[in-house]
Amino acid sequence: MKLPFLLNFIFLATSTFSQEKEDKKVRMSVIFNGGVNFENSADIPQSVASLPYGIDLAENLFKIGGYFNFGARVTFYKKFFLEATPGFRSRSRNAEDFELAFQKLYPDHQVYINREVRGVNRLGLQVTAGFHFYTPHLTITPTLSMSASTSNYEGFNYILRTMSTNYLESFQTRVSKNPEFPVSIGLSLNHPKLSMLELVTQFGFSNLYKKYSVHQLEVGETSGSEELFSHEIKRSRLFWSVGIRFAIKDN
Amino acid sequence: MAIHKKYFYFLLFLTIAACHGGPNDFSYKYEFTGVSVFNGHNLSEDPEISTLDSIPLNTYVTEVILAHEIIAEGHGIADWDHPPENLNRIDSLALTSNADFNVDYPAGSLLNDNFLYFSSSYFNLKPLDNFHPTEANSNYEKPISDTLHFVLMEQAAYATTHIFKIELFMNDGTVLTDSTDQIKLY
Repeated sequence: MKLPFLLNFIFLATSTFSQEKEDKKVRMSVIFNGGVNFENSADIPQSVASLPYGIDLAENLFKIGGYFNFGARVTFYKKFFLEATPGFRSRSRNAEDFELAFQKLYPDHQVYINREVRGVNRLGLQVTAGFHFYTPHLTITPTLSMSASTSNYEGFNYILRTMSTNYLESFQTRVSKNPEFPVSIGLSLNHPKLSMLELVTQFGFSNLYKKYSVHQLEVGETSGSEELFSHEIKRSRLFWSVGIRFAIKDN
Repeated sequence: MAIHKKYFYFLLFLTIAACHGGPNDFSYKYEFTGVSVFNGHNLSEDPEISTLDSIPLNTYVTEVILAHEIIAEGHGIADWDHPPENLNRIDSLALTSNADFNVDYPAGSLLNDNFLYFSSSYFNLKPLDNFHPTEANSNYEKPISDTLHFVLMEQAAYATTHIFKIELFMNDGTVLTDSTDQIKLY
């Protein structure tokens, strides 16, 4: 029920701002961006079980994701623009693949993984600057973007059951992380006859710091336990995205 | 600016619609009407009812099926805002055996501490002293059509023959009860 209130607020805010900027030198647009997102893993070894408790499996099983953001763009003299777009960038992960990989790691156990391992979203604000180059058939716009984002990834729980017995062990992998500040360059292409639609691509990198820790839980409990193992990941992560941008221009 | 006004009124409509609740604004109301218990084992991927005469102690499970009756139906869709309402909640549960379980638990004593229960996921394992049967991924009490699995966690038990009995003490003072067939644990 919070979503309609949020949308109300955003549209009212953008419409109010648009009214103030009805100057031909400064134009306001409402921007919607969406597309697919590819990110490399955290550059940790790909071999199964190179780290205990399946920590590397958690990082290496990420797949293609998506991104969506929307916000406002201010264009100056039809050439230069600045836009601010809050939104998310995601990476998917299939819980069944995850379970199969864990099953290989623990062949003498039945593995049960909670269903919260489907994917990860990074929520944040992206600020983009761009410059339009007009040709007769195409508008070409190189962009530079900077973001601040934080991930919703909190780790996962899993239970190992010794085959054919009631002997259960419960583990929790926790992740502490710092905010990320992705920087990217991009290019958008737009045909003059389809002025609301742009084809967009972005390539960038982001700092990455994660500290994984593995805890053994009492069976039936969900928190509070002894730390068994911890591991830090400090790397750069590369990402590439392709999508479309939809712009409602204020004429 | 007309386009923004349209958005505003559309979203205002959505907001009002989302807040509206009708006179039948509940999913359904029900009561548990009976309990059936069976011996089971954990030899395969999930616990299952067993007809074996003997089962290893470290894999024994008591399988419990609760019967229920719908007393009143609202819109029939259970969610966090409209959980099913149990009109006669289970206050407590007692699991006992007709035989000595071990030195600390003679015949007839309460064995609740030796078992954990779940419905469909090991992540929902709970102690029997906090018995509020729920389906996986929900924290509200709703009718259980699946079997509940009472998993024997304490392995320090005598290898002997048992008949396990379950009593559910309902909020209105009634007791629902059933017993397993005889089973030899070893």
